[in-house]
Amino acid sequence: MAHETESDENLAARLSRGENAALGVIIRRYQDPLARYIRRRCYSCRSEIEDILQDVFLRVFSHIREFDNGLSFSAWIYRIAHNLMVSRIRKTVVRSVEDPLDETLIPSTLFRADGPHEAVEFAKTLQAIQERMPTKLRDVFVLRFLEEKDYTEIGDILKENANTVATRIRRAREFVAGEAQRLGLRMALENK
Amino acid sequence: MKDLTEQILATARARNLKQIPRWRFALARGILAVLLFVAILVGAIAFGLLLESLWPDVGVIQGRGFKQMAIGALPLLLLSFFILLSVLGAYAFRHFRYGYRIRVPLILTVVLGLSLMGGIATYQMNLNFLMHRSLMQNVPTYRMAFEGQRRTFWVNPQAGRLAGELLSVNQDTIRIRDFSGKEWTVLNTANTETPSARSGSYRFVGAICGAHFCAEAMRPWDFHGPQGKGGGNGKGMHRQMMGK
Repeated sequence: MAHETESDENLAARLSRGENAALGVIIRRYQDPLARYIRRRCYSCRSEIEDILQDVFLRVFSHIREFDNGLSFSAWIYRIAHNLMVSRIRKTVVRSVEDPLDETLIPSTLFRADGPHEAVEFAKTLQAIQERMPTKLRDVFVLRFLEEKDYTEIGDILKENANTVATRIRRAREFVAGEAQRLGLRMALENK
Repeated sequence: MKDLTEQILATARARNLKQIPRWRFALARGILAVLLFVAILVGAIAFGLLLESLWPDVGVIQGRGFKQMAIGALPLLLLSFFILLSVLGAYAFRHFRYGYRIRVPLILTVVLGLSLMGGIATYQMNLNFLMHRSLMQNVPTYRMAFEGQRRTFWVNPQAGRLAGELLSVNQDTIRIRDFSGKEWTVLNTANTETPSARSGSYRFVGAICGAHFCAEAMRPWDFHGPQGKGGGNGKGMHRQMMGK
């Protein structure tokens, strides 16, 4: 019987052996982090988050035998979520912002607000900066600075090698730092 | 957000969703591996053919702006094919399970390197010649593109290159009809041994001298082919034809 504290890799192995209960544990474990990731990356996906998540977990179920332990399960499931989200974004040409970045989606390591008002303003400005950012930089920015993933995992999610990831992170950092300076925004990008 | 577990499990049941068996993923990877292998192999043959069309000329045009001539003589079709297949091979490698972890330039270098080594090997084994002969006989587009470009390059007496069919061969003079239809008397000014054969096509390197063409070196038009290796003296068809 699949247990809530079992490792992702064990759950994946159980699921691939036909123990469908393991999928329930995976869903409960990843539903919120993936929803948060989608909200951080796509401001116009709010109404579709449940659909995207459903597709993600159904894909996990049907493709579980493709997963192997050379990759972390987390990177694998984020990759699925990322690809399905990008595919949804591409299908709609013009989209409006229906789910703006809010302060709860910003990790405290990136910005420590002196008060609620400042946090809200920060979120708004960061969203404006992200919207101006090229897609590839935005992908790594969200994964590195908001999701706080390490370089290897980002590479595995985006299917890019470590050097490319490092270069894009550097460019994203420079882009955001430049914009932040222009807009008078303080944030802690240096240590990442 | 509400717990999606029940909803998703119910959807999976309603759609009668099944897990895709492992062999299907293995098959997809196998197809990529075959694609990579074929790309390297065919790339190697293309490179071997490039060698085939250039290497015999090294001795002939050495010291006469070889680099310039080599670039001009490179059969573009083969070169494009070689590059295309290397890119295809790199694409296949990149899409292996963890292929993305390796930098594209490195992948491309490895694939190109393997094709180059394979090309040298197939050249040594004459496999590329057999492939070339088969293509020349059976694929008109290949024949037109390959021969057309090669003939254009070699029928350029002002640049010191001439090629055509032998009409007659004497000790010091050779009569030929070049591939554009013009007849020439080729003078053997360098006292190179003249072709022992009385027919077939030849190419000459030299210069126009008056109304004639003074040849300093001459080679059979066709590639040496497998005869040179299996057939006996190991010197290649042109040497056999020239009676060496």
